[in-house]
Amino acid sequence: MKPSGSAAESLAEVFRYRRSELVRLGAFILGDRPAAEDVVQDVFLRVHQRGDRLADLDDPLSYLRGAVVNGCRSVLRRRLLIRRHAGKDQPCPPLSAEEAMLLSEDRRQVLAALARLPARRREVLVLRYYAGLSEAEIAATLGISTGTVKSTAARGLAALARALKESR
Amino acid sequence: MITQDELGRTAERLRDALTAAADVMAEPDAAAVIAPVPQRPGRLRRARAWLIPLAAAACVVAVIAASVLLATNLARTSSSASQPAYPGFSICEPLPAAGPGTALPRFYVTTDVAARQIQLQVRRTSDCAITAVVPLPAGWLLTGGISATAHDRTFFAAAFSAKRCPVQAGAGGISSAAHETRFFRFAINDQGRAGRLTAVGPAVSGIVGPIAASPDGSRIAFNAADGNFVGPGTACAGGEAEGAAISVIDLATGKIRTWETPEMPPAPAGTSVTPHEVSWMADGRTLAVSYVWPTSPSGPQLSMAVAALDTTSGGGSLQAHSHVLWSQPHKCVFCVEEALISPDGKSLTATAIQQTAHGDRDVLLRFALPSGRTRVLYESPAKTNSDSTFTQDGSGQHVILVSGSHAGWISAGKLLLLQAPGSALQFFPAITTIAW
Repeated sequence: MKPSGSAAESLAEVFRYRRSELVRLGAFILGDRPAAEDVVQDVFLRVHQRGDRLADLDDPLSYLRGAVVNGCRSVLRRRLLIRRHAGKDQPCPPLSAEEAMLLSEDRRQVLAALARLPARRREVLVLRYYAGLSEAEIAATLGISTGTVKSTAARGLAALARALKESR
Repeated sequence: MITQDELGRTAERLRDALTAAADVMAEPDAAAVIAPVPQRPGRLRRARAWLIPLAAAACVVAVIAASVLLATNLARTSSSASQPAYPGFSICEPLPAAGPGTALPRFYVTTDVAARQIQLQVRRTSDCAITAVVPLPAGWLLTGGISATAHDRTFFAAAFSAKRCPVQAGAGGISSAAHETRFFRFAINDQGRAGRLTAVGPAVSGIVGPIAASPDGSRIAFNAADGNFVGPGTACAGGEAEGAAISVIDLATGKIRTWETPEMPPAPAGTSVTPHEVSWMADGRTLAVSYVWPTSPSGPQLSMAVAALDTTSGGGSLQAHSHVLWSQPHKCVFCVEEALISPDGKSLTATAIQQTAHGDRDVLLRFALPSGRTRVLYESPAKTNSDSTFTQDGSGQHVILVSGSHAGWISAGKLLLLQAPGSALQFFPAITTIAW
């Protein structure tokens, strides 16, 4: 079912105003901006093709965030397979060299350490500290318990702190 | 062993790094993804069309055509513009917790020129909701835009009456000589309700340009020879410069003082300059005047400077009663288009174009005076071909940036939208259609 004219216009409005935010979320999780753009594009395409009624949802942005995170997981799984069988995986970094130069060395170190964390920890930390979600919202987005969110966030943060300490 | 302090610091570093990375991450404009717009290679820096007589006719046609398209789009989307399409999406972003500095203005005023009668709309900053509508008199066209006093509860607008619109669509544009501009004032209360729109001061001859209400609202400074105007309706915009002067009207006495600007340093001798924006310092006496001049006789490239005018002088020559505060370097990294002074006179806020490998970007800057030390307040994603303008509140701390059909205020390097797409806000490069 295709969305009606007004629903399509509204979806275009959401796309226009939330696409950047969702691409950045995906880029931080994947460490790869072009792949994140593809994921977000796919999410909106699916919503459009299925005629999903975002207006019926209590929190459509949360729904889209969850869809993007799931899409990122699929990309990560595919990467794992490629790495295992072909031994190569060259994701593009989320920032171009020119953009990275605009960041301080300290910030680049933090982002590099974040990129080396396991995917689940990275997802939780990005949702917490970039998207600004509460533990309950992260739990709803990822489909896990708030307890798991707490423990994953704590372990992720500790791992990040250790990595940054070692890199000094 | 990782201590709690270290965890806390790591969390802060992570938040800071992600925010900074998101800010510098180039992201193609979503509008361009939806409807690709071919980029012209080697596009020259945008020129102010009303400054180039040879381009005036083409400019009028282009502006009218754009207005028709915009109005058509507005008519199509206006039914959904009054509220976000989805309850979970907020176009007006949640206000941040109170930080240092002055409070964010609670209301702002936008302009709806699509209707048969121009409307000034008071909107609440927190949710974009319209709290009051103030129509201009029927048949009046907005010129010089709108301006707020330091106390952000009083607003002024400049307008002129015309029997039909376009007033006079000739090859040379629209003459302002046969028209008179009136100034209008209205106030809003703490709930955003508006009082009556009242004509203040005497009429002034011509179609005036950008206006700036003095901090106490007793005087209005205006570009006396800009000549741009807009609406109401679907094909009513244009104008061209006629002369070059800055005026200040005392609303109580009706007295008008005018300073003419044939030449101004650092423009080369013999080069005519054209004034544009005006902005007041908090002393209510010093007026910052920005002006531009062509860097070559035939090219559209412009240079720019800002001078401080002592408005207690009796009028006459701008050069004799002002001094230059800032001027554009010969080779600009950030090519400034508009500049307004802070109330304390210690800085200029400016919009500029930054040419990058990803295309031109809008940049909002703050220049410390007199050092010229530059701080980037906001950098847009790579852009296509939209113009931008900005306005600031009475404190000078809070800035609304309008870029294309988007308007938002700048907070911590981000543009927080104040306007739903397709809603009443329309953008006209020469006229300020939003204020707070």
